[in-house]
Amino acid sequence: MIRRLLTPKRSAPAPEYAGNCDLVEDGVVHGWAWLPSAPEAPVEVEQWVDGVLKARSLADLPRDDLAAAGIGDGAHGWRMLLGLDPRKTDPQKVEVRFSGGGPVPNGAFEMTFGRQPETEPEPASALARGHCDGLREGVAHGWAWRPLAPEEHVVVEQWVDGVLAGETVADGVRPDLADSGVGHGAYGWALPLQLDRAKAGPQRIEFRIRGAGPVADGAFDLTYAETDAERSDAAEAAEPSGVVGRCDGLKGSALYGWAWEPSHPDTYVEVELWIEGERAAHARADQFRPDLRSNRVGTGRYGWRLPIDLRLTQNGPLAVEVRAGGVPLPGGVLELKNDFSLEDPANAELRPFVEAVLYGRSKAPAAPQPETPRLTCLAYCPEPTETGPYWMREYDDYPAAMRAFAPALARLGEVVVVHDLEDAAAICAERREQGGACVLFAFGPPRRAPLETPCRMIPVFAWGYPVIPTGSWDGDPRSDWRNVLAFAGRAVTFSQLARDAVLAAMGEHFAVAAIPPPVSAETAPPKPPKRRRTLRLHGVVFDSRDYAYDPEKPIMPPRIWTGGDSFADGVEIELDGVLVTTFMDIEDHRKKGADLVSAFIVANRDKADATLLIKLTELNGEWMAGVYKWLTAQPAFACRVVGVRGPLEGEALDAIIAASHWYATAPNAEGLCLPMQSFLAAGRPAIAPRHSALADLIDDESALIVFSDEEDWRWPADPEDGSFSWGQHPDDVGPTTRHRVSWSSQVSAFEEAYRLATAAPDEYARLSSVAARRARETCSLEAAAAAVQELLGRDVRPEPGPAPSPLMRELAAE
Amino acid sequence: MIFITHTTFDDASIKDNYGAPQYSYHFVMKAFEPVLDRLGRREHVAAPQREVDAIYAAARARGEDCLFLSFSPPQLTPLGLACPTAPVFAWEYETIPDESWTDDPRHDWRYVFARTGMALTLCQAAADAVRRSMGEAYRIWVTPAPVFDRFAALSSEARGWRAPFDLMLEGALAIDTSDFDLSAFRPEQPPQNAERALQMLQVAARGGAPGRALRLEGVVYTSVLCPRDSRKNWEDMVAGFVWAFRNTPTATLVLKLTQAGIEDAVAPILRFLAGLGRFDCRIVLLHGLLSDAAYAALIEATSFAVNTSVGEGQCMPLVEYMSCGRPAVAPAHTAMADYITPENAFIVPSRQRSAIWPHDDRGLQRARNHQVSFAELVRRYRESYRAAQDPERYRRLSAAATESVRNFCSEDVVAGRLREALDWLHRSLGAERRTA
Repeated sequence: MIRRLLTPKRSAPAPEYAGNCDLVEDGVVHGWAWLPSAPEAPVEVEQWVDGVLKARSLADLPRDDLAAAGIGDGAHGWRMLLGLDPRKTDPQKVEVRFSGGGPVPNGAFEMTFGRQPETEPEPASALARGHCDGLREGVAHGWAWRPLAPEEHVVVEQWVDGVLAGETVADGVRPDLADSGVGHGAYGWALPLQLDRAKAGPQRIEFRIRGAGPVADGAFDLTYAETDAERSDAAEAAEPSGVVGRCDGLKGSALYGWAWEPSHPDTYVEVELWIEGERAAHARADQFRPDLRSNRVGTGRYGWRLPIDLRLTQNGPLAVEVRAGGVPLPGGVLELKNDFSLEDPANAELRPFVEAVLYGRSKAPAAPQPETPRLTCLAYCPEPTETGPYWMREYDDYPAAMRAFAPALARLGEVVVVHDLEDAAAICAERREQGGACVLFAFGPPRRAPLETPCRMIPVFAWGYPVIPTGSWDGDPRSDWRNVLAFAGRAVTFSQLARDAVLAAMGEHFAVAAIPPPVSAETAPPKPPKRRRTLRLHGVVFDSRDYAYDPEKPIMPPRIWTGGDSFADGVEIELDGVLVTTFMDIEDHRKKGADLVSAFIVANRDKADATLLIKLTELNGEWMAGVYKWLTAQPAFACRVVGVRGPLEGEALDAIIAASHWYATAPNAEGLCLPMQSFLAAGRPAIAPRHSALADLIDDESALIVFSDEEDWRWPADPEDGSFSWGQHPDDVGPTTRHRVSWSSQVSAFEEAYRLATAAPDEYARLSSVAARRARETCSLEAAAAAVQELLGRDVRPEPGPAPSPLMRELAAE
Repeated sequence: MIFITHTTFDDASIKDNYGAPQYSYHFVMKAFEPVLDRLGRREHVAAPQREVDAIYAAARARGEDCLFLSFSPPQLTPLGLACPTAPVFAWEYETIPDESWTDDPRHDWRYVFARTGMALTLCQAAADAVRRSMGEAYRIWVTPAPVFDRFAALSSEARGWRAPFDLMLEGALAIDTSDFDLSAFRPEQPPQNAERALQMLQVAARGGAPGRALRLEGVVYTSVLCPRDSRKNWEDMVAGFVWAFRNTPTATLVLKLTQAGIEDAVAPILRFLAGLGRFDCRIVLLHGLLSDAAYAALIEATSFAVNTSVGEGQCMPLVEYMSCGRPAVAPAHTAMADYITPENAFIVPSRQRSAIWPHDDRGLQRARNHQVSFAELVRRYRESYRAAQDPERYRRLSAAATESVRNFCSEDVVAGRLREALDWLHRSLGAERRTA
């Protein structure tokens, strides 16, 4: 993060206006403007770049410094995203002007797109601060943070003789820091010294903040012997008898811990409980502790437990010591208080529970304020655009992606779903006051990412092409995604292709993670569906067996079947044999529905026990006629095609998954494939090409791969061909690629799918179990939470990266 | 032997119907004339139902045999004539129409073939498709339009890499992308822009385009096609070319368009090109009917002939260029399988896709066509460009092109096949008359 105060030029305000352009920071220009003669009048400023009006902003942001300086009520600040043209490599002339007035003082300067303003490089220590507090028992402790981004955690590295020997995230809770005004205080770190035991001489130890610089007092020389001595000093001070161990603390009504004598691993140590200077109990440390075993602590049979009567604490705090060999164990000197008093404010959270149990619901007092968590994850997903220009329609299901991500974010902190930015601002202000921090995860295409957020914003988006949009239109700098990404500094995408596309545009060190939305996965091995089964479908259902097809009649005739009373109630269908399920939106031309249906029918023309279930996700009611048209285009077929449109979640979806053998899809580009993830996790292998986001999820051990290769693709030019999903205007940059899916390969894959499901149960079972295992590995909550955590601690260093399209790479290499 | 010939289009209507679906049957018929003259006499008729049987009766009276060659798709072949009839047709699908629609039984080609008892088609793949429906014994001969001799006689020297030279193209408008800014045709511009610009161009050029010289250099790729014919797949051809040669000003693609209306023919291509991003290679659209000399000059200027079709019944332009020793960048499916080889072409792999018989207005999926691989097309363009700079390699490709096409459609080869057909006809007619 670079901060630059623009050098004041000649001050020449327009006669009536006053203001200043204060600084340019992270692609945003800040300043203030007002009309002293009419302080209440709204003042607008304009941003001109190379003579083109790029942005307008009302100067109405409250600023304490302005109020203090007597500039009206202080609400005269403004900020604007710099609208530099990314296609220009030369410096561009930026001019900030009062609307209807002259230039804003210091508002004229030149900048080059993608380059930070030329300025004296500030010392890195100004960007991040930290301190090494000292060594204890061979472990260095300290704290580190980045004052400009208090909600993030920096990474502290340990360098020994110029070698990176260890690293940790500085996120330990340190109330002392918060007390002394260091953000929310959770910036502590501890790193065990990693000296080379082979070196006899002193070794240079340096603690550094990644991407910033050394921490204060974090560089010193030590020999291995010294640290060893220090370690053994500590050990000796605690345990001259050579006993090593620890008191882990009080759990329930007993103290727990472990103790052993490394020189005599087969003997058992006696531990004693001393209360107020008197020996109250003793126990043998001989209980098995798997954690000790896995940490190579002898045989691992060194655990101990000492029961303690907590009623003794009712009369006041008790001094307690756990001793082994006559001296206290580390962690074994405690003061036990009665922590269970209902009156103790520390227990306020549990009080309603106890009182509810004791007195019933009616007596329970109002819930107290819950303790504020360190990090609050604001999940924000603007309402998807369903109307408007064709290129604004979104097909990717961002609300569902947000629901899938929420449990992973919950592992990092409290998750609050916000529906508008005002809510977000209110929550942010509240959390800050309580010493917490917020990060806003904006689910949706970067074109719609909110830039006026009260805290750091991380765009979370789907993308299926090797190039991200970098065009400019409508004066909205967000149409060039690089502006949004540079502003956010970090991004989450759902696929490796999307991540690589971002890296290609933003540089290979840009902080972007590819995280497929986590799906809940059963741990039980998947069971294949029965041969004959009944499936209840909710919503409007279309069944090919209900119609006699007449190619001369393209209009859908009435049904010939009268099995159900009403479409809307859904119907039960009797299934026999193989069921292939696909989710599609007929209007989403990426999905190639017509090809998928024709390939299925061609492959299963003579198979009465093969069914294709199409779950339609679109809103318009024309889908039934659309499916009917695809079917009439085919010669007579014995197989069956069922379409269903309606809300399909929870049990209804689980029932479909359980009844299906396969999940099929054949898009030419895919950014997000939640339905397929759910099918895979349930052991339903896929019939799909292996490209874009699909490539992260399947391989030939977990799917029948349909052949595809790259083809030319541009953002569609013809509204008739409208196939948009990312809220992007067609007037965009040059070419990219998508994938041409082979229809004949799809036919072969459907034939093979039928064969495996009917005649080769072992092969099918193998695909099924691999699919389930891979999906659990790739789309787990743990992996997603860890990836987001890692992303929050990363730095931003822009530099161009390689193109992720093999064809483009090949052409560039020649 | 009298050959009575007929086609839906004749000389007089060709300028007006240029680019219409059946126009190429006219050219097929013209190409057959030298061979028919070798084997007998020709009589062209405009109204077959009235004229054919009259000619046939007169010939029979003289003891002469007749064969009525209808250069038309089978569903337009006149039936019910006394004179022996053979449709001469082009076809590029694995299945022949075996259903009838709109109450015309001839849409079911089996109905037509059963009544003619014989047929001539332009490639092996079409003969195979007919035999799949009619049985292995059905009498069908592969008689491609014999264009080889006429074009081989031009004896222009094939050169892969060309030093700068001027190409004079009388009669045609040359729209050269390196001359103007395509941004006027970008998608955000009103779609009428291209049409209006082209109308203005036409008005300005009324009374004859100025005989402007086109200065070419490097490697020149040429394709002759009708952009309205979706089977030609000019989109891949053009986009693949731009992908392959985005930074190569010495690569030129000349598209000789066979389409009457300039707005219909040129405007969609300009709009498409404007969306391809910046490129240094040249794409030249030729609009208008070239004189024979100008057509020969265009072949002369060409290093490679290009085809990216989803199916071909013969592809006469490709065969003509190869006759003149121009190797190809093309797929090897349908008719191309008869003459495209790794020795004479850079073969673009293709894959089958569900398709519609082109004249089936019901739009039902009863056929397969062949989609080329875009990524491989780009690679073949690049390989061919390198080969053009290796004179010895290019010479081998060129010689192999001529040789392959000679074996496919020289007058000798086609006359031989026709003679087989006539022998069979004589035998069966003789047998009929003996039993009669």
